[in-house]
Amino acid sequence: MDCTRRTILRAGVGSTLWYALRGVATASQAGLQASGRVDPSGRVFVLLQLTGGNDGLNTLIPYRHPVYRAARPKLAIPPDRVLRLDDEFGLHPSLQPLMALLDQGRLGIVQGVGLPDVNRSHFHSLRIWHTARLDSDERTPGWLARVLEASDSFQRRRVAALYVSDTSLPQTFTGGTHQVPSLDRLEDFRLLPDVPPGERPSQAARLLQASQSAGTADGASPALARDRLASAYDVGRRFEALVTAPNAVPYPEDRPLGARLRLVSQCIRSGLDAMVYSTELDGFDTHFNQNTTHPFLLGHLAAALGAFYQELSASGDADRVLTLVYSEFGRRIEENGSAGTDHGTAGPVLLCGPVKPGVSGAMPDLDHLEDGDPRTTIDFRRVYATVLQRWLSQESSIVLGERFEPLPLFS
Amino acid sequence: MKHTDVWQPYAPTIEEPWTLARVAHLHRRAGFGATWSELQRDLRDGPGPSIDRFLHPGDPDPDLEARSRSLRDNAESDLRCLQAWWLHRMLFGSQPLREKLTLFWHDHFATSVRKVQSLRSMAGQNDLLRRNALNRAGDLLREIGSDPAMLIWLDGGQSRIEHPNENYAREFLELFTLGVGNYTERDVREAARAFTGWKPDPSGAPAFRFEPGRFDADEKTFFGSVGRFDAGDIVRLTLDRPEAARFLCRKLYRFFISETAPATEESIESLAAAMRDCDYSIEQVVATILLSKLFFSPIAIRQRFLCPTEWTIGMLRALELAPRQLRMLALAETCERQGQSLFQPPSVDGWAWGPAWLGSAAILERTNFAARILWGSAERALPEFDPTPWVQAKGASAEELRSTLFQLTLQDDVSEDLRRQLETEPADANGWRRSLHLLFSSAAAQMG
Repeated sequence: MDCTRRTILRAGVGSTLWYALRGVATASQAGLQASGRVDPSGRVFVLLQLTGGNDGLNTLIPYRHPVYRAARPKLAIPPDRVLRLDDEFGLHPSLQPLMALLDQGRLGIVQGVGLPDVNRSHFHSLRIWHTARLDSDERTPGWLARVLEASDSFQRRRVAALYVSDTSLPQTFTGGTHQVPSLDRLEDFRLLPDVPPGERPSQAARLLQASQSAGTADGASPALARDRLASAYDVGRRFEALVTAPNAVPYPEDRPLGARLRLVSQCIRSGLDAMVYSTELDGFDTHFNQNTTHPFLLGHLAAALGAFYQELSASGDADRVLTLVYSEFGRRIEENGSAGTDHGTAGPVLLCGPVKPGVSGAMPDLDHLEDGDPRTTIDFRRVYATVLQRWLSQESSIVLGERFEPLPLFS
Repeated sequence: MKHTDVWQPYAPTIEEPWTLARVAHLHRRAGFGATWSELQRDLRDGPGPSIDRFLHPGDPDPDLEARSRSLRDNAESDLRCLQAWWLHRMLFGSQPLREKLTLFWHDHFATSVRKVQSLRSMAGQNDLLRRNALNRAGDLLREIGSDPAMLIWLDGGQSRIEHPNENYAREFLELFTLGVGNYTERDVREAARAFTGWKPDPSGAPAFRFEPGRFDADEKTFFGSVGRFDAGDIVRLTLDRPEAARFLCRKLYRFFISETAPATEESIESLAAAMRDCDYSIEQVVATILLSKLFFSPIAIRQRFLCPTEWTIGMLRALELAPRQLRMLALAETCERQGQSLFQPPSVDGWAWGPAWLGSAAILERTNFAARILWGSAERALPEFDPTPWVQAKGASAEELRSTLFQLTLQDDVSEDLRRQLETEPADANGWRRSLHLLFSSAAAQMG
């Protein structure tokens, strides 16, 4: 490993290149401000879920550790293949595009993040991540739903938050009063494309009138259904016209995250006033033949994030966009008999954007496993608290219900 | 089967008469909606014969079966064709309750072609679910454990005695039988050992054979019992847990009674006790639900969010579209765009159900699909729907016709504002199209 990168990692200080890019960003931002976009300096938070339980130990790899190597005769990444960060840790070779982000000072990695208590159920773990409550059930409002509700500045926005995926809205956004639109592709957001053009505007108007009239209340349909419909018909009518920014860089297409981040980038660069975006990449539940899937998932993730920040820095937006990448749990250190890994505990989270670059947090102690697994060293709610306090300027204890010490993730 | 107070049977009374709203509710829950003439017939016949037609539908209609077989011919090479084949059964089939429960079990044992990568195996699993849809839960659980699609989906076919794969064992306990919190990590590991023994059969289509040499025949400890358990023992010991009946009954409650309010402990306990008494017969439990006063009460009526297949097929059945006016592939496409791609549930937990169906892109697709059916779509080769003959069969005056449409689509549960808005529409083809479009796009029409 070269000296420069190591210095950055250890000191958490950006390189010259990083400062140079920040300079460019500031200059072009001023130009865009003059062009009259909506709040071009406004901060944006992107939440990216790796669904299925990403194998953290093959993401940020303790490549020299004898326990890691012994537990994974088929799946350990050999030391000569890891992208070394220092003498202990390296990234999976498929994550090469992230090394550029690291060089630019745009990537932070927090080790050992997980739930305070071990939970090996996908759905229960996800619920806890989505609600930031350990005792949550399906009715508990999501943590971002609570943020949207707590802040006036969100409520004034036309589209405060957007979920970009073909799966249903996660609990992160449900249970509050704010309706969060969801879409996977821009063309999903068209109203009545098949109605004859002569009829279309008037029928769209009738539809809006029917959904928005105060007296739409009838005994059968809960208020939630009415609010969802009114919001969808309203946002659907004007959304496509708002998202005008052309794409400037190629995104990977072998899996769906590339197109999703491309759409998020388009929305951000078009000046949409959404402050929160969420998306996901599924497929990380690698119980079987992990080496035929996991490297490709990581490769897609890294290429998509790389393209996303490349495009955002070209438009001067990269320093106003923070991305948090997490998964519901890591995987067992010991591989199973089918060249896969079963559900485990803590894992690393990634932060992209204007963060303190490099690795932070504390690696779980592989010499002292609990029930065969590394123990969580950082409660995931501390990461949320950091995002809330330091990025979204929200009092985190209001949203999280108790006080968590923020992590030193920003310079 | 004994009925406690909560599940006492429904009988029409002055306070709770047999109304069109109750007839339509029965058809939405036990099937996929009804035509105007079916609603009229059941309103006349009363609850007994109406419910009985769902529980004892007689033999499958041979014409339908012949058409279904011909659709199935293409289905093993193209996912859209397989989806279209199933949607065709839901739309025109003569055993709607069986199809409805097949959908319930598809969601319960949610297996996706994305990983299975074999449409033949997915179709085979669907046949298994349909065949066992009303049988005992134990039969279903035993069969699903050796189903090739499931052995691929949750890696059971790759498990080995040393380091057994926990994927199937965990979901078996968490999602298929007991629910999270009702077992220990040790139970997962011991069940995983009992589920070993499968070996992929490399000949042709995905197949697995059981090889005693790959089965861990040693002693296991499962929920405190000790023995040389195999998969059948795990099913039996799991269903002996009282949590199993409660878990399945809660899920059936959400499917047949309500998603908007949680079940009372009493209603679940009493249904679960009945379920154990009949050795987990799904047919008997579902019959108890459908016959109950609770099922026909305001606690249940329109207290579920219709899933995409229910909403889509319900609309097409109400419009009485004939097969030639439809393209089944367009149905498969819209269900996917509304968020329910059959044979590809998002995860082993199935679809999220409830208000999760009403994502904004899904709502826009619903209203866009209703428009596509009513005004036609050149792109999708759908003809324009001519409402004139269909409407004219339902009344004489414009006022009478409008009233019939309100009855058919929403059983008259139309808000004053929408009613006034629709009264201004002319009584011509386009006016009826506009009205139908707004009715199917209303909030009430998303509830079932």
